[in-house]
Amino acid sequence: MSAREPLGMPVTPGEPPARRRSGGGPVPPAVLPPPVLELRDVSKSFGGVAALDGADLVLAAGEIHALIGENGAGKSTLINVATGVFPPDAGAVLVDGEPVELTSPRFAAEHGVAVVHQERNLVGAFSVAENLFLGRAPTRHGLVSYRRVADEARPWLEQVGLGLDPLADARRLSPGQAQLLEIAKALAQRCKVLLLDEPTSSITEGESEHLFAILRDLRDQGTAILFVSHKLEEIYALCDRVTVLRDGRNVVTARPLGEVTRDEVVHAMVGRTVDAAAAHDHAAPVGATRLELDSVSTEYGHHGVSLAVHAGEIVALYGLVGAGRTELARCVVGLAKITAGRLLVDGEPVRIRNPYDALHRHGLGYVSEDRKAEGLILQHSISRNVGITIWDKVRHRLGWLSESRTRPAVESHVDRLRVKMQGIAQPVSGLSGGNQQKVSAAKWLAAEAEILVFDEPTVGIDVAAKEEMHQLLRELAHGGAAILLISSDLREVVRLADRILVMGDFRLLGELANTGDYPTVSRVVMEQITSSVHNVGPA
Amino acid sequence: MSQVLRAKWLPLLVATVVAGIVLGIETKSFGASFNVYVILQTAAFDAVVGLAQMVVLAVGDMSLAVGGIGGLVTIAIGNAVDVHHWPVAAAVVAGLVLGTLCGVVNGVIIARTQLSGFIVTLATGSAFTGIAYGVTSAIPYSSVPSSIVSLSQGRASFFPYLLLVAFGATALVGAALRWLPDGRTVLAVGGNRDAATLSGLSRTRALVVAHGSSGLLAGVAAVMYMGVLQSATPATGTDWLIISFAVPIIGGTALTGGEASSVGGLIAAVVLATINDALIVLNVNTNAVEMAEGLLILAAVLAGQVGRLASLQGRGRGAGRSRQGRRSASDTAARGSGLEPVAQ
Amino acid sequence: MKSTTRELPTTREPGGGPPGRDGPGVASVRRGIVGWLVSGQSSVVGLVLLTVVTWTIFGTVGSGFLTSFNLYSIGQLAARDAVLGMAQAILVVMARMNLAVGSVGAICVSLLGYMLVDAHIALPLAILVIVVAGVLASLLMGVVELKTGLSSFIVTLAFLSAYGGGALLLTRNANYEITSSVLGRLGSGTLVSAAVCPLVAVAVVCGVVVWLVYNKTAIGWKMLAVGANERAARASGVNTPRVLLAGYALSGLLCAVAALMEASYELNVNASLGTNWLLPSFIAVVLGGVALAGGDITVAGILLAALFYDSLQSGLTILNVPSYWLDLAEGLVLLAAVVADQMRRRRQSRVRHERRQRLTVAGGSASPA
Repeated sequence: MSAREPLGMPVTPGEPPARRRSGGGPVPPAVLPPPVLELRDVSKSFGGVAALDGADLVLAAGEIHALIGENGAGKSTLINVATGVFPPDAGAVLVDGEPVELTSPRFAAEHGVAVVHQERNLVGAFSVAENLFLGRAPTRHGLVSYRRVADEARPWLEQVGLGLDPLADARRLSPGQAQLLEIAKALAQRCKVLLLDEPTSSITEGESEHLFAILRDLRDQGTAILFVSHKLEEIYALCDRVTVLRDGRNVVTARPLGEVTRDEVVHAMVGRTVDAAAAHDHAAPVGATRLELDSVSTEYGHHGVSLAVHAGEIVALYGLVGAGRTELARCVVGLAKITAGRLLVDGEPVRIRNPYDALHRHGLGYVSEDRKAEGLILQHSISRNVGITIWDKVRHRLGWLSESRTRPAVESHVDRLRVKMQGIAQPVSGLSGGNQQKVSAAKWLAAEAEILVFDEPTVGIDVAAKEEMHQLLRELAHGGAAILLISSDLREVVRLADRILVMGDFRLLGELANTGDYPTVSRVVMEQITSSVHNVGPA
Repeated sequence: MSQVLRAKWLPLLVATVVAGIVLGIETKSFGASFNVYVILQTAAFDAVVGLAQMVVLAVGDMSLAVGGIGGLVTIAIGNAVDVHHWPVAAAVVAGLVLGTLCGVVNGVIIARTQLSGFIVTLATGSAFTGIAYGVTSAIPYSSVPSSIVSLSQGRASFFPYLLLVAFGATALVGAALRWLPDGRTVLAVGGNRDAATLSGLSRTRALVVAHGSSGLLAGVAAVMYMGVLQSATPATGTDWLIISFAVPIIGGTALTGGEASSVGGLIAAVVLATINDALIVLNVNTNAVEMAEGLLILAAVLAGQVGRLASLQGRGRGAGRSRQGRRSASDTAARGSGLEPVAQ
Repeated sequence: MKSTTRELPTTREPGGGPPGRDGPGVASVRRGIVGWLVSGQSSVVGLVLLTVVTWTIFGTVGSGFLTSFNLYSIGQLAARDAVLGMAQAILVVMARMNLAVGSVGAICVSLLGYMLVDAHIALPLAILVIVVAGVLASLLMGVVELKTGLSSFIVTLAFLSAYGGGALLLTRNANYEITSSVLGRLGSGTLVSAAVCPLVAVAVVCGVVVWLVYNKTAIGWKMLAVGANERAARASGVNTPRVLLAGYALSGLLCAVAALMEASYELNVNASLGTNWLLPSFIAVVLGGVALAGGDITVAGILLAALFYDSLQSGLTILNVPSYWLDLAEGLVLLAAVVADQMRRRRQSRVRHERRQRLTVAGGSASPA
């Protein structure tokens, strides 16, 4: 056992310790010790795009600190820097006031910084206790001692309220229990700092309550906890201070929650000056209903989702990470299963089993969110990427196909989108992000798909390309296409959409017509999102 | 965990025992103690070959070099005894060390190059076979030490002494995977590579340990074979491939890694040997066995798939929220060369 | 990430990666040395050089290497290995593997032997039947893979023994002595010169057909797409199951052709044919510059790889190197080729980057954060 006093002595959760504070209560500490974890002026870029731009994070011992931000605000990058997944390009990481170089997650854990990710990372075939001690199982005479593993795991399991057999298979845990196990694992490594990424996204309401009780106890014992979430209700109930990131920078840094209103938080997340130029054209006539979902449930867990997209219309589907928008889109185009309800194209109920059905039978196209892995074949040429949807159409009767047969269609669409390239024979991997995205979209235009789902089409591309993509969307809508736009960029949504559907936790939270006025629309949308409390029904 | 594994081969075992009893009553020769001895002797050998593959499957990889290492160890021992007149024990130890080294070489290459075990061991396996043939010019060594022969061919009525070796190997491997930290590392890396790496476990170490052990077990199998055949031939191992996969898979070892049952493998070896023998007794062509083995592998893997998918679906809504959707468990079996099944 | 930050030009990979698949005439515009090295083209040139060097060395050092007799037998074997390589390559291109090439060949040759020798069926009909058999046997494996979702490794491994055992079972280990003179002339006759076996023409024809499929047909382009990025191909509306089955069928057809070729020069066949096909099929693929990860094929490379490799073997035999060392050489050549292939792919350093990506917290789309 280590010489240091263990931070968390086993305590029965739920018992109120003497000095318990309610979330948000203003109790400024009298003397300020150095923050347990500090990220100072940290910057990090990927492929030329800055994910973090001089961001700060200050975590004190004995607090639950909320970290809020939209998609792309930089939260995950910040966590990765804090846990040693990669070093920052600039800036410093300090533990207890001392600068450290975190070279790996293991190293970070040794310095007391532990993280519980959104996705579980457990070895299913091992027992609960062994997962807790993964890589550090207690031994006796050099052999793993399962009795010691179970005995030493028990207190940690009890501390997080996991009252099950330590030797049970980890496979059998519910997502909530698995998460508690990972927290116990972090505690067992004597962590001083516990980073939790969207911890309530996959657990039941009861499990959340339990989790909060555990977190409060840990805080009271001196652990610093970072709570990444977008659910303001939970944050106001649980957390002490808040930091808001936007576009890789801090908008709010370590302010006590008692001093910040919800409106201010929402504004911090999305408030921006939006230029009035290229305002949305609301007079576009809207045609027949092309695509309709009627009380659809999916294998991902959506329930009762109903929406409609008309010809000539851009319907935006807005939400934060984990809202389930991409998953819904995938079900619409046949990449995943609809388990209940109806999907209707042009008023007729259809069964779309795969994207082949979607495109060739119903004219449905899906511009994937993940352009590198799913939207494009990077090693192939622009011509091959754009033409892939029309090979069967342009080939000769006898099956002959050649570049010359596909060239006209490819060139016309590539020109229309103004793809900057060296020629249609150039491999797509050599294009910039914006041009890659154009190629990814072009293939659906070449196929003359009239119902299009654009999934995060402007993420990670430069301003000019973004403008061109917006222009394309407007043109397509004016030309009669029915467009479902999935976006996490509220400015983009306000500029382009006719209607806005707000999604959260795999449900439709609300719908509103777009007035084009950014401040009001953004506030309404964010309020709908941040007031959704729970996602998963009773277990 | 043991419940899940037991379920897979239990029906097969029961069926085999019942069929065996029936056959024993119908045909006098089947139930004779000599016949049972032959069955168990084959089973003992198959079990060890299966263990050699099992330890590699446990780490989430595969080895096509089990046979090649077997051949190389065979001729090394044969050479040491026949040509250089080493004492038996020294020769055997040297052979086992050689086998282990061959395995370690495999493990290192795979870890360093990040290639799939399939292609690396395909190449090294044939290289080892080539060396064995080359050194001996395809001529087997005929004088196998009598101690090895009496171990491999000795018996107490129907019980072959070789089965003791199989028991011992099964127990040791099972114990190593359960109680040695390195054994747990192997299973952790095979079970969830990312979780293992994030917890500071070394995949390189796991690969080297797994492949090294595989080489050692292949060497043990070579010694057993040498005694049964009474000849140290470089052709040893050329037909070990199917058995090396059939035994662990039918015995419940996952193709994807992280789970391995050495006892299951032993039972599967007995089942396979019984089937083989029964077909011979019934005058069915032995080639049917080869066919049957192939089909049994498919069935066993499928049964494992169904079980795994069922337990995944039962885990509640949170489990379904993966952005990648569902992927079949076997698609990670040949990771490294980007192999994937086609989604429906 | 968002538009308020200025995006610097995306880093481009040196050489821009492999050239687009626009046929041999269209060269990629910007091709540095590195790009050229990574592309399939460099394998072809390299192999030509290697073959020339090999022939020169063995021709000088070994007596009898450059005789028409020896060159003839090289051509015989290389032709079969080239077709085998193509059979394997079809599946490798789709990021899969076919362990059962030899067993499908065994089925074909058993049928051939039975039909010609026992059933006295005319050669053209027999050939037709075995081609159909090869296609069907292979298709069955594809169907099993689709229905079960198992990897091609395990499916073709199972069928390796199922078909292999099945063939032996059905023929009862019979040996067939083929007396067809047409077949004999194909395998042992001459074409143009005494140094060239007609089988070489068969291999070239197969090569042309495969080249045409991959360069001039929709199904070929789709197979390349599926191999390069199956997710993207599927999401783009390609009917991936159908493409997969087409690939298996084509592979089976080539196995049948390879079986026919070997039958034509062995003249004495049985169902154990094909048991030694696996390694040569992979050697021709890997040496030929076909990426194991799929998405790319160099037909000329496969043909030349077979030629080079069998020349090497022949030369070593002429030098009286015992044949057993050739087996060692086989393994080493494959290993070297595979490692070299891996190093070439590593230049794109995708492997490391992907691991990083997977360990990062999921949040948003392809770009992190």
